[in-house]
Amino acid sequence: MKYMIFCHNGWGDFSYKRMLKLLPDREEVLVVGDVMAQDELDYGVDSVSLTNMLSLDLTEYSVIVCSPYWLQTVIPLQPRYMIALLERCPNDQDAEMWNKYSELLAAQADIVGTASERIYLEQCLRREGIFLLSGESPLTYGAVSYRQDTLFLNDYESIWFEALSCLNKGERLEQWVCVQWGIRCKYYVDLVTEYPNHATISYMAATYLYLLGRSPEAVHYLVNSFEQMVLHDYLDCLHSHYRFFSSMAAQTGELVKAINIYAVSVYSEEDRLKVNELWNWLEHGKVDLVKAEIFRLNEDYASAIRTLTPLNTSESKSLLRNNYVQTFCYEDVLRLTEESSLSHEEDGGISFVDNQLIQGTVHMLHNRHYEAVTAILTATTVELSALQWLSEMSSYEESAERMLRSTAYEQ
Amino acid sequence: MNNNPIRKTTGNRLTAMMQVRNESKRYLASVLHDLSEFVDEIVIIDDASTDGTFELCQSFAKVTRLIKLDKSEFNHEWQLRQRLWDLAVSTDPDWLLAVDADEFYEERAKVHMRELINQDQYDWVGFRVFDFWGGLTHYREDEFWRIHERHTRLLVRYLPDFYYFYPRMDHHVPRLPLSYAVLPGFLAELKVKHYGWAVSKEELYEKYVRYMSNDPNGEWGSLEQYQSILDEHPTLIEWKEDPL
Amino acid sequence: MDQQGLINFPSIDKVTIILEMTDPAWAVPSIQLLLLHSEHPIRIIALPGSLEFPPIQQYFEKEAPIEFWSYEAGIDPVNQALGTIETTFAVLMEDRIMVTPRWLSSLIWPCLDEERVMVVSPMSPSEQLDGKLNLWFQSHADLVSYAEDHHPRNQGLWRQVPVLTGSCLLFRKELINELGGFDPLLRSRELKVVDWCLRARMLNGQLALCEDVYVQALHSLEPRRGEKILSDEWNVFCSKWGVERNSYPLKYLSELNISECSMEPFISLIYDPYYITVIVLVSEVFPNRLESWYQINLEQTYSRIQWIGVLLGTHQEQPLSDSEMWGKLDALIKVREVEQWHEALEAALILVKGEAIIFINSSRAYESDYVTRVVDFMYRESADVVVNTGKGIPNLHAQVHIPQEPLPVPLSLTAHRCIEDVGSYVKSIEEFYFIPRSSLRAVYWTKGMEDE
Repeated sequence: MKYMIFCHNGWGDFSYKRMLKLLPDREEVLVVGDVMAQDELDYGVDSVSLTNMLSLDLTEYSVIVCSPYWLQTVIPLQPRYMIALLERCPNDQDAEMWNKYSELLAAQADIVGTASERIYLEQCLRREGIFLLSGESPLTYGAVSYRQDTLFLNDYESIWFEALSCLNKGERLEQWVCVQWGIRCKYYVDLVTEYPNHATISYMAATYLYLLGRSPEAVHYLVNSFEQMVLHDYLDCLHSHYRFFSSMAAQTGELVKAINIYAVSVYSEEDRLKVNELWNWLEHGKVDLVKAEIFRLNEDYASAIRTLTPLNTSESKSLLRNNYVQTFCYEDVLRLTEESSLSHEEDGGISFVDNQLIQGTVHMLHNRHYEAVTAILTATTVELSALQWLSEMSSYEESAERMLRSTAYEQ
Repeated sequence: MNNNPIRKTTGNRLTAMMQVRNESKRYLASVLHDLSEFVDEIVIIDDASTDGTFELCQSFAKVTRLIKLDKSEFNHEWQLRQRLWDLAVSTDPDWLLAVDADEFYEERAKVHMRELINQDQYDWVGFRVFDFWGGLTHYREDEFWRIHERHTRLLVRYLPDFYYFYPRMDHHVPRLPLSYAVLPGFLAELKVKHYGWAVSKEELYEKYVRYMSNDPNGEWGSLEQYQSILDEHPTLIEWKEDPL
Repeated sequence: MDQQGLINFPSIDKVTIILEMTDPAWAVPSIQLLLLHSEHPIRIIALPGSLEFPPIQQYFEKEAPIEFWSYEAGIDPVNQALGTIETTFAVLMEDRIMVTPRWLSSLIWPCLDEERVMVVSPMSPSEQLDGKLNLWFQSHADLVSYAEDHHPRNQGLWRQVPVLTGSCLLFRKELINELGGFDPLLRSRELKVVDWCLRARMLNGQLALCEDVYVQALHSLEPRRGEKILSDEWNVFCSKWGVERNSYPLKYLSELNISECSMEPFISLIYDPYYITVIVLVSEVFPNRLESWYQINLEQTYSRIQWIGVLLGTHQEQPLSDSEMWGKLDALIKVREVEQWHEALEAALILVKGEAIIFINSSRAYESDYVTRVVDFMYRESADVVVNTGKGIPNLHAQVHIPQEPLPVPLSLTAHRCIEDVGSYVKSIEEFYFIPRSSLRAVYWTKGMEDE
């Protein structure tokens, strides 16, 4: 497999250099931009200028993308696989833009890696194929020969290696995602025995057990975490902690309990109407819709999507579309709208304007500038405020331009 | 299926819950009489009284649940609190009022009580508790006696699916589960008169001795506060009942 | 001892290294490091861990002192390998171990220093009790730097320990003579090793831990066979050593009083592979042409088979000659009426001499390694009953599934050990079924999600 690396701030700041030695089926590794000669030697990479990169056929490459600003350049080139490495927003970037386009990057990618456990967990609740690129274990899990030496791999390096190997063979990644959850889970569960009064550690143990589908065990850890939060006076935990119980109840199929727990946690009229809707669905036997909505209300979009995907009603497709919107799976939104001829007005789903903005974003990411602007202007015929999206688009393009200028050199 | 909202804005029942121990000679009868006027039901645990407290409670019609413990659990307060809570909850209540055997609600509070519970925006109410000192005309306000400057959570909505717990302490356990703190509450400017300290000097001394022997190292409460029970000249403020 | 850190030894013959291979990605570097870092001549016996273990000879030179054994179902290869040792010293290790420079002479040293030392282990992540050390190295080069710095500084530093559990053990051949091999009733490696070491102590042998040697150990991301201690195996171990069942993990073993143990420590190395009975059920309702069916399906790679045929019905449409009917069978039971199948089966069971029975029906086709795979599976999983529910032959990635309650399973896909009250047999119109007794360890192998 040939790999092409697109760093955010140039090779100097690229924080996964060792990973490049550990890429499976390693044929060729190119880095777009300047790389010091010594590094080229040490890491077995070659640098390539932006211009030269554009002349290559990227359909043969697996691209590693470290910045959301590369999307517009990379997507139209249709790489064989896209590997996204997500980072927290750098100090010199606009957080809103960075975070939004990082989500779009994650949605586009075939596999996502991040060293930040916070980003990792957020993404695990949004989509499939997410991997953590950090850990605490000193144990060795794999050995890979690299030139004359043998490199030892720790737990996350081994998992990432296996996952990328699966990707290269076109196989599914779930098995390795679960292996990683198992390892993280064990780490936190062991830590809880050492620090039973630490709310966050118990919460993490609960979260991983939940991800592994082991809600009955997760509940005990969440209870402990909730108690510790209250005992230590961290009282803003009704949604983060208490409401999480409803997701766990939904996972085990206890839907009456799930709705009741959710109902306790809401006070606004809008939210109470939602509770009524849930009861209504339950009464009519639409248990999957209830499950999916409870997951979504707990921000577990991934579970919601998994629950809704096999269903085939207009209601389920509307909910599915909502989930896709919230997880920035814009192409899925458009596909679903077209496939199911979902309307915009009646189902209370996304509006015409939002649909146009989504179309515009997708066009923009595919570098179809003209179509992007057209979609936005169409939106503005209904809502003038959609114009602000044009300025967002040009902000994005400006940031992308700035990055290109600073990292790639022209020959 | 349950299409009923979990928070009712009308028709809420108010249940008082109380733990008592040898209160028959003091204010218990008056308290129960007073409560009977504005609550719908009273639930009591008698912590192994030996002075006819149990029989006194029995004589009030609104006391619908009454349990007497054979062995006192006073020194394991969280257990006692938990028992009372379980008992109260078994009546499937709407709202619970945690009352002590020497507490009286001011008239204004009694009048507004239904208004406080027939809404769906908050799940508990805090009141201002005043520690009357040495008699029924004055309350104490000095260094260790400022409980009236904050609110004490005494009235809560019972939500069957919420998670309730008490901290596992032997003394000074809150009357109501700590987890209510994460739900929205209302701090009412309504007063509760606590007559527990409105006693003679000799009885104050007895109380002091009892606190010190239960907690000689100040593990559960403040040693200085225990000491201040014996103050010769506490600062006392005349009580004025607010107009309705 | 000389200044540079090499201990001068009296001349020693080769050292035999028995290497248990579990993963080719581990075995290759492990062997390469053995060849690189062993300062004495060695003879490596490489034992594949499963039927599917791929050949790795091609990664090594023809002259390399490695014997690659082939996998044999139903036997313990380690015990077999122990029986072939002729050298004074030998090492038993797993392929998860990556050795370091001068590891071998350092491990031999305690044996020279103290004649009662029988088993020696280095520090490593694979020791669970004394000797456990988890060090992280990015690469083999870093590991070597550490070893070259650390080992000479602590040269010769060793101490006695009460028990060893790890994946790299050096021992004297004479220990094998007196002790024999691993206990076949134990399956997990950790328990097997602990048991062996405790038996060695019964013979007044000492166990040594070399603090001057560290070897790296790889861990598996997913649990591997032989890692998990099964509850029935733990019961066996506890009864044997008089240990409280609740005393897991093993740290309490350090307090065990060996002198109070009265069992016979020797366990013979000699095992024959399982002798298996295959009951061939041929019914007139099954469509296959018998002669060709016999020819194909009774050609099995497993060698130690007693063949018993059970012929139901008269096969009027396909008359068979005597020799066709017999084929390879050692015994043949014929009944005229298919309804008498139960009696016929009972008669067959009386004739059974094997340790387990595998059923094959002439209604199905079986691969030539079917018996081998079933035996292998039964042995490895310590199963009393094995049911093949997958669409085809079980493989390395087959998942093991033990249901809450055993269900009736098609006899043609079943095998069970010859134990008392193993279960019952029933028949429907078209199929014969086996219902295992519920307390048995009935293991169902599946391929992916296609079970039941």
